[in-house]
Amino acid sequence: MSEDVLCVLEKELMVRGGRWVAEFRESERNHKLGDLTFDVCLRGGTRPKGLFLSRILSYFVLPNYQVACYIMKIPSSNVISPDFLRKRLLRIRERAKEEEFKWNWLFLVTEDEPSAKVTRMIEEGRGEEGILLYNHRSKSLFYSRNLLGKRMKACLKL
Amino acid sequence: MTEKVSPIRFFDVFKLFVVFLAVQMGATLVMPVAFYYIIRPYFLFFAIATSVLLAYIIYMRTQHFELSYDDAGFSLKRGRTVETHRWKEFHNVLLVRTDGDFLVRLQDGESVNLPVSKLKLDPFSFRMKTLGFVEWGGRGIDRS
Repeated sequence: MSEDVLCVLEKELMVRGGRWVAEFRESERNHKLGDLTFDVCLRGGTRPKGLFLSRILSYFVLPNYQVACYIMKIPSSNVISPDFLRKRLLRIRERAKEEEFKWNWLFLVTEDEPSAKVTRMIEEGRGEEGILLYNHRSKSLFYSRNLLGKRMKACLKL
Repeated sequence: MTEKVSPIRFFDVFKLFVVFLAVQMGATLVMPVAFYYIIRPYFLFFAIATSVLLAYIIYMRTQHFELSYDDAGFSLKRGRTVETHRWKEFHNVLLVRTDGDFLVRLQDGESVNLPVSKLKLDPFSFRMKTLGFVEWGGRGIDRS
């Protein structure tokens, strides 16, 4: 898998559709979270900056949440299991508590078609975090059916 | 091999030009009438020419960025101030967006920002390049 997939995702989140979900202002590669390393970690907030009027509007209308999105390349979707997800989500929750990230996403990137079992596992993720699985080869995106998962799916054009 | 990037941001020069032109136009309002009648035939030409010149000089002295880099380090020049660092001084590379502009932020205690949007570089690919330099530098390999 080339680096390009991660660049495409970063661009999509920082510059294009992702901006409808949150304003991702910072991107870090090879981000360490405990014993785990995520390929990309994006951080930002829900209050976009803009010119005078949009700044006033966003100040009064939008909530001021800190957000984070963790992207991880995985060699195959077969590695995804309840334990695999639980471990990553636990680390993300710990970091969210430390740094007061209100919204968090776990974005998994793979090149093979996930099995029905894996797809169901992703879609049934009803925790607070949005979970997404992107198949780079077929360009299909599976997402958790919670608010964050659905919102991210609706805004990304991959 | 050292690479050098120093694009002129014409829109920034234009903004300064407009400011200087407006100041000169405004000056005519407080100018003695007799003096104004003397310079009137040449005023517009004079005002435009001096505004272009002043805008270019002020831009080059205060706002122009020039980045020179090779695989050992980089030198960032803003106007007359120059900052030189080696890649191995840093261990963390962030891509940061501030009000539409992208910066590559190099961190290790202190942080240095490379204004990639102002240098008209592709922020995503330049960040990957920088990451490569910092990783090489971090391993203590001096390839200079």
